[in-house]
Amino acid sequence: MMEYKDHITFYKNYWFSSAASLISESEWGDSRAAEEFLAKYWLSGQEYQLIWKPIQDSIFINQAELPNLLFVENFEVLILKGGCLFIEEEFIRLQSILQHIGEKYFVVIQNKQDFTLGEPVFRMKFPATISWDELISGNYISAVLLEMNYNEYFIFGLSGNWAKYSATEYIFPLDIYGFKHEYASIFKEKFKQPKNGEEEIKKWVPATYKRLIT
Amino acid sequence: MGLDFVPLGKTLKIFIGPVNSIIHNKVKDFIIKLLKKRGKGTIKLLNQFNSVESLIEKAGTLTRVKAGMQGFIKGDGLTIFNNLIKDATLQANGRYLLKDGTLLSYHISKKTGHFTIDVTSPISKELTKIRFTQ
Repeated sequence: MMEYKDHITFYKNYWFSSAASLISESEWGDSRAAEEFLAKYWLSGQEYQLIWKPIQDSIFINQAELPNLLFVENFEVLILKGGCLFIEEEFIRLQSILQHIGEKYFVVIQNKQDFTLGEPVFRMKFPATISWDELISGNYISAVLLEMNYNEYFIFGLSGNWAKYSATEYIFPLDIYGFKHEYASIFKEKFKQPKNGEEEIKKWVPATYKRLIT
Repeated sequence: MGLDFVPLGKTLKIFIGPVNSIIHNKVKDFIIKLLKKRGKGTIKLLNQFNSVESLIEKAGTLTRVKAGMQGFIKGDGLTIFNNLIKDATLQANGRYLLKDGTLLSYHISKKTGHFTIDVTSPISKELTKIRFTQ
């Protein structure tokens, strides 16, 4: 059964076509590119339950929502401005970390969102070496996946050593990276913020996270 | 009389179909008439937000987020949204096109409860979230 069939039809005519920056409105609607992309990178429900859900549960506190803590106790956190899943610059930085860690794959699991009008949610699996051009090759599927300003996602790798929660619908959109202590220095180095950026983020983060950020 | 039940935008399109602009315009006129009947507070509110420029201005300093901007306004988001789209054209994708080329749509976040107007500027093409707090 094609688990992503609804995605191909639902997003073909979607309000975000006039808001996306990755592709123009006139390019929107290439269902062949969308289907090819989903065929390559869709994560099946069976594989998710068997392999990835246990990893997700070892990183994220089950059912936790902001402003509560999302990561289990042994994870350190780094909080950045959010707003969508990835922009190119951030993705390239994350990818260099994944190469350092030796990560083979990462997944993008959309959190359920009750407020939508029935939008089908995403469950994707990508090789850690995927290029940005390939990531955006899925026409409207890539645009919705990467840029939609109210999709929230769990992103994590097979190693279980790091993850990100993309909290685009929080009062102030946040990207919350979590990682084990041994990877703290590389995450902080790759995602180093200018001083004024750090100060702004401190104003945005939930009180529960203030004690965790340095 | 509350208007929160009145389906607009995408919801309206789902109920009556994308091409039924006659029904849509009748519903829209009905809403505008209802809005006009609302109290002085509403009229004052609508006078304050009679254009997208006034909306953005009232949101104060917008904050840059990844892939867009964000601002906050206190007030009844749906009433303001309906006022802004009174001369707009409903697009096939469910958004409203204003005469100056600005595109508007809205969503309500169950996570925060915020009514949010999504504005796309015709110049920058950038998406701005205007979130309403009571």
